[in-house]
Amino acid sequence: MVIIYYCFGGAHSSVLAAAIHTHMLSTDRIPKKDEIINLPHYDKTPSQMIGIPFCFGKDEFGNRVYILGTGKAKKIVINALKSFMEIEEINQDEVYLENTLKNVNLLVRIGGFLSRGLGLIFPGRILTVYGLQRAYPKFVQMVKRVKEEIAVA
Amino acid sequence: MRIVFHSRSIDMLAYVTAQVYLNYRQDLKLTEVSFDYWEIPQQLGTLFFLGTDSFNNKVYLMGRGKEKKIVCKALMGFNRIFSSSGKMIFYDLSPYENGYLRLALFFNRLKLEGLARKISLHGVKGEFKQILEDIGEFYERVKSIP
Repeated sequence: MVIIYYCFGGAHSSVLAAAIHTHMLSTDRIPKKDEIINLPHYDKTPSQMIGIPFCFGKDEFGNRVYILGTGKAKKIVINALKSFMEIEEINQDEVYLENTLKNVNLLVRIGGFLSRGLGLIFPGRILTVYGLQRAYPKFVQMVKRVKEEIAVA
Repeated sequence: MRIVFHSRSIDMLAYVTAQVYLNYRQDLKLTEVSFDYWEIPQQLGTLFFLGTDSFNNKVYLMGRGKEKKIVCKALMGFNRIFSSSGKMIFYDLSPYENGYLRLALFFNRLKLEGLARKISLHGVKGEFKQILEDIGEFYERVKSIP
């Protein structure tokens, strides 16, 4: 099975969710700043790479976990994926899509814009980390729900 | 292999260009090309199967809005992850979007479809020579892919 966590730029919230999913980050405590910053792809996806799904790793069930930035074309990209699955005759249960943006607070949005949008990496990155630390319990809950739903499927 | 003709929306330009590719001949006339594009569902991002070319490649149409790079990269990525049928080639139709075709798109949004079709036809007529030339080159390129 393929699990795709998607957000606007594929650089912050989707990376965090994928890291929790693949046990790179612990679920019983809030990770430190360096643990988040050192995640693969964290705050690194340049805007010209938005749209490309990146493989993040595998979870304990052997499912492949991907991160994806959809930019302003969220609906179109999701439609394209569904349409592609249809023409490839891939069962809908084979792919799980999760929008991580719904857990994102204002700090992460501002930080992401500063870092990825304006190139102000230092203040932007700090803000995103701080914002994600504050929202961390929500992310843990989301990943738990995703895993439960996958198990049912 | 799959070939995707993409433009802002599935309109007369996209349909005619893909038809030119499917029925390619150097001396093809616009009057020989089908224009029944309005029966195609208009949801952006959806791949619409149009037919199979002479090299057994499947040909699709896709409306992708303004974010062509993101949507095409995403599809290439999905193809890399899931596909068993090899390469995917994209044919961008935005170079042919002249003033008439943009105006037609605008009228289409206002639900003035009849008027939009007439203006589109004018726009496609203006670009047809170039389309035929470019599709000829594209056809040869596809032919050379093993």
